[in-house]
Amino acid sequence: MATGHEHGRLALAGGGSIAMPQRGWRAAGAGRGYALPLALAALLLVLTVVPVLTVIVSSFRPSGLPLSDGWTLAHFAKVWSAASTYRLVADTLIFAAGSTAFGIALAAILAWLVERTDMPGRDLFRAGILMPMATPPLLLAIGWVLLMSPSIGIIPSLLGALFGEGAKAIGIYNLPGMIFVQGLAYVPTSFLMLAPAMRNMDPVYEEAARTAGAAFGQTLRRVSFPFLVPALLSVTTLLMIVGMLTFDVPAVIGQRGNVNVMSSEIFNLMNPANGLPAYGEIAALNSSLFVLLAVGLYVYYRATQQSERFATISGKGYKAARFRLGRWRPVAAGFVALYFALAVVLPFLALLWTSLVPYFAGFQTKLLAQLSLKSYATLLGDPRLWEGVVNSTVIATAAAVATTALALFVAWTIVRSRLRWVRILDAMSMIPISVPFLMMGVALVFIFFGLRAIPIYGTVWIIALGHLIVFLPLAARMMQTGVLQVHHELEEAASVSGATFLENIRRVVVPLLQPTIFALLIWLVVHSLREFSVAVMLVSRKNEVLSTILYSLWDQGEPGQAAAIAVMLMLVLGGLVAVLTWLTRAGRER
Amino acid sequence: MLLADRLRKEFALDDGRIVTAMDGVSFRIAPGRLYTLLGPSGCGKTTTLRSIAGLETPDRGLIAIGDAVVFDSVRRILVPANRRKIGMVFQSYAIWPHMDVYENVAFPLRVAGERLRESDVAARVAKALATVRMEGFERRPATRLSGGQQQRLALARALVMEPRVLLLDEPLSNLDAKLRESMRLELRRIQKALGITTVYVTHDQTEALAMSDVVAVMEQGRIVQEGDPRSIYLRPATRFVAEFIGSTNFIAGKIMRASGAEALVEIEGGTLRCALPNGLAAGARVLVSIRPEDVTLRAAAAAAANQGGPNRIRGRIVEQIFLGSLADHVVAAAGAELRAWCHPSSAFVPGTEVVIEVDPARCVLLPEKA
Repeated sequence: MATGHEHGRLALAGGGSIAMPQRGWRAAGAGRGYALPLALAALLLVLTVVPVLTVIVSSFRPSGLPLSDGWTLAHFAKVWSAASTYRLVADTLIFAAGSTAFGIALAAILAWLVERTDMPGRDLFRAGILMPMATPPLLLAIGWVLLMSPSIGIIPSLLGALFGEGAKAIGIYNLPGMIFVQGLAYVPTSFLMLAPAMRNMDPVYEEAARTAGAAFGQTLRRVSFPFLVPALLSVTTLLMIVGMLTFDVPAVIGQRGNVNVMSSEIFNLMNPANGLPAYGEIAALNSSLFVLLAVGLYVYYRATQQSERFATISGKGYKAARFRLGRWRPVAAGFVALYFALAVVLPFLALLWTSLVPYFAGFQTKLLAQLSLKSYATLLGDPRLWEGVVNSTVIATAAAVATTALALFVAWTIVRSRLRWVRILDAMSMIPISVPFLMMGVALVFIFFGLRAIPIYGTVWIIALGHLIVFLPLAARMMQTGVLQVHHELEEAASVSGATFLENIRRVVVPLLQPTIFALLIWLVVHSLREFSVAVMLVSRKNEVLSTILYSLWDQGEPGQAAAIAVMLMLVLGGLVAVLTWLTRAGRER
Repeated sequence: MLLADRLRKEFALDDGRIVTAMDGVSFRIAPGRLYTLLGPSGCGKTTTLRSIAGLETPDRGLIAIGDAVVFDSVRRILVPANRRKIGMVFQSYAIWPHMDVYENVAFPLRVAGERLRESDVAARVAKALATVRMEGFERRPATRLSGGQQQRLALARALVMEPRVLLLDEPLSNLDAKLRESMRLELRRIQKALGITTVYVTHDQTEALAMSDVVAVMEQGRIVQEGDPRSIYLRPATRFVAEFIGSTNFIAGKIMRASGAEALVEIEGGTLRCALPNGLAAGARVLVSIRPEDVTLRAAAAAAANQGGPNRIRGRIVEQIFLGSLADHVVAAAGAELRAWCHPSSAFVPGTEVVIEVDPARCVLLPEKA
């Protein structure tokens, strides 16, 4: 009973002495503290606002570097007076819009089949939906290039055998090819965003429409579809932003087919054949793009707010009536199986085959006798690979832990603080959503290339920092969902019981959020291990990671070794994704 | 002893409007008493309780627990919730699902400043669980408890530190009706046995009347009446209190004459003799509050004017509803429709002319406005 009592007595007798040693009497207790929100605001400012500002400032500097002198519009003038820029923007838009449309359409059909019909095997599908996370766009693209290589690829050969030599001409080194692969890569994200919207739709609205005389098609169009609009809008915005500057598919497919998009143009400008990169033009391209994306972010923010409003309308505790597919059930199951074949199985088999054959020559039965583990042996004897393994592991671990911790504090503060301005933390943590990965990589180069006081340029830490920033928006959102599910009285009960803020976090908040924290950690490790667009901007000889080693082997004409890394990476990622699936299912059953 | 002095708290809503949750709330609770804050949702009772706990910070005022000031806006004293040494039972019980029964109760001991030996922790947990009759449940996971058990566990956790003050936030509202009644008795028994000063928040008037030493009725951030349950029910001070606690009939009127402890009130079609409260004088416009159980119905023929006896008004039965333990009648009289709860054997059919009898002492005068 000691302290509070004594202090209170002191305060009574002493008149004017403050009972607790604290700065400002409002500083105590959850929900009213200033210190944590202020510290987080400062940190988020540095992590999310400063990089964007750096790129924008750089685009107005004559030298193209942020800390140099003078102002100019010359970079914008140069970039936008070139006819090739418009061509570039047009191709980028076609690529982004095409892959977004293809990915969402595919995901919407899958989500509807899984959530609203009696398709056989839908539980199996739900368990496996995270699996494509193990085939990141880079591997997917390489896998599809192997499958589709002109004349020797498995698919052209097959088509040739079936439909004659003419059919062999089908190629992948073009925009439709890029759109197809990128679209496949978008399906898991789109599915995860659309499925809840379909699942949570209260069938009473549809039943009401049916009893009001609407036919099945009319019901879908006039009642069901409007409910999905917010979710569709937010996933569309998100994927469009990603598509505007993703580099995996353009690097593997676009570069060979001479289809240039913004990301490959920026990459080429950053890696000139000789001399220094044209920083000013790079910054000007990025800044111009950012204006487009800021609009996108605004739409996304509005759309997600909208979808939350819709979510509150629908109640709980009902079982959605499932649409009976009847004799279409096998067709539906076949469609889903085809998706898995295209997104996971075929690319994996192509990579596996390539990693085992002595030279790349498509699929030929005569090669069966020559299968060997030579590519693996060469790789495993190469110290470069082991450095990559260590670097990737360090980066993934550091980025996952740091991002999770930051997301936890940001989410907790946003949900629990009563200060009105904490909403700005939410907005700030979402900024990286509107910054393409490649651009964030460029921004970090701009900042740390000149900033010798923090010597992380060229080390693994700059890549870890990049991953922290680009994965923060999703991590913060996941954590917010988790914190919202913890009833505030559970924390208040701990405070009243005598727990300090840190004891409360350690003994109550963290244990209750354990499933979310574990799932987030694994999600982050997986995405850091497979990440390519940020890393490719930040690598030098000393901090190579697996994805960049893989790409450089591929680029240098070592498909066997590249495929061997890809196969090993897919197996590791697949194992992690299996754990993640098991964790999220276990969490749901609690 | 618990003291709250002129507590004030305003909230800004999202649309910019300002809501005054506490508008000068003051009270003093004698040691060992159970003090109930009663009112509809939004009246400020929960904000008051949470301010005592340290979970809300009032804009102005003073709170003292025992002789320790835990909040004083003038001297800028704010003792955080975790150092106020109080026990609290939350509306949702807030039982931590990742701990078993034992660990839930032991939590306050584990986060206390002084480290306790495990044997001491065990002894105090056992004592707290025995108080709420939960012995033998120590290793039961918190997720496998019934509502009533969670309630007892929450109480044990609140009591384990032997706090100076116990705060109960609608602790019975999540239980079903049968269990609520038995837990009401048990809570009161434990509170009396421990002699712990208790603040009880509820919107349920039955709970408030059955359990409290003192009831404070709150309306729009203010305590409008404070007193023991009997006086609150029998002598409501305002129209709001009369309406919120129990059922009542209102008849509008005007005081014609005030003499001694009695007033003669003019109502539509007659007069009523009523007990005269302080602060009302001849000429004042008033409401006469008459509880339905204080009304007696008689056949019109049997009635005759009688100066000294009960008030008598003529009326006509509009409706009769048989409820088993009583017969509820709606009677048109004095320009209003009055409810009368009679013995189930009485059966006046609609349309019957009747005389309404009410004891003048049971006619409570309220100011028309307030």
